[in-house]
Amino acid sequence: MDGLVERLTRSVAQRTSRRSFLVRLGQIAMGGAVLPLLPIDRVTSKAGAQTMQEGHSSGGASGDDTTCDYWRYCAFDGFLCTCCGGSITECPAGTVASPTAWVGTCKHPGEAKEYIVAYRDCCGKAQCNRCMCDNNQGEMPIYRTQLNNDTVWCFGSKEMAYHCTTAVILGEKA
Amino acid sequence: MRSADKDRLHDGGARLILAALALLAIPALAGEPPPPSHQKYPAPIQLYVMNCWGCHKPGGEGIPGTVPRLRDTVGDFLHVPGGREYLIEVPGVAGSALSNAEVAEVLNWMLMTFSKNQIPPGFQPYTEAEVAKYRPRELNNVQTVRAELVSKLAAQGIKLPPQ
Repeated sequence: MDGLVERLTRSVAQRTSRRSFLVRLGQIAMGGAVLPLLPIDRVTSKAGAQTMQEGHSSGGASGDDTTCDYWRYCAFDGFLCTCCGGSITECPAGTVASPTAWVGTCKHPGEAKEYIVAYRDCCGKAQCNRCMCDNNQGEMPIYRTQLNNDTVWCFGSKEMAYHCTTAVILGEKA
Repeated sequence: MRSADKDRLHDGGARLILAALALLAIPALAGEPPPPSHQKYPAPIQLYVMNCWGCHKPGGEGIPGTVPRLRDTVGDFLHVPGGREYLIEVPGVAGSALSNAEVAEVLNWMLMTFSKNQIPPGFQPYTEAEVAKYRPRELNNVQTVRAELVSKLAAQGIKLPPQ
């Protein structure tokens, strides 16, 4: 009996890895997460989203702040902090928000309004290298530094290493 | 120029589980939320926010050693000869994307908002024509000119913070 159990155990151990259990569990959990998303009434859920506060925007095809086509990134150049452990308004742990920011305006797709957006770099760690986004609407050449976004806007910070960039709404353009 | 994106795919069950749990934690993935309601700025404030705010900071406090302070300071320059023109000639103002009328508007707003107590009696607001006159004299040696003005102010007993 001992021998039988040992042979069985050894054969299972040889055919499978410890990770395979985690993978299987992951698949089950993933399925559970995706299924409820499939048929969704975006019109009704939009009304519920009216109360969302700054910095808590969530995804969806038209409003995913981890993708470069998100409206607030219209003049963005760099790595999205939303892909780097931070959020659209907050720097990832281990980095500091630069005291300087460059300011542009972006049109909100659902409204005929433009918003003033501050692009603030998070500094102090090597570049994040995830979700590179290079839009540049309204950007000026490098000799107009105030309106140029190729520049690393970490100046004024103790650390000049660039990690990623946030996009904070400052207000509505009059 | 920053380097190209290098999204890496991570395999491994633990990461997959974490990703799945993170998805569960997001309430709805509910389409485009409207931006939060924000005030519209009156014209001169908007000029400041869009052209000056990024470096001079929301309250005109500047960044010590990097960006000059405006708050409780900028009006001091009006007390010495050359100081009034200096505020038009500094590279950030003269080289800005603003029209002459807008420069006059935002300068007057900055003086009244950040430095009212330093403005000398009988101050006349800046005009578009005045900006047009002095703006072409953009300074190449801004630090030297500033140091001269600061020492003239010191002679009058007005002490400016460094930078």
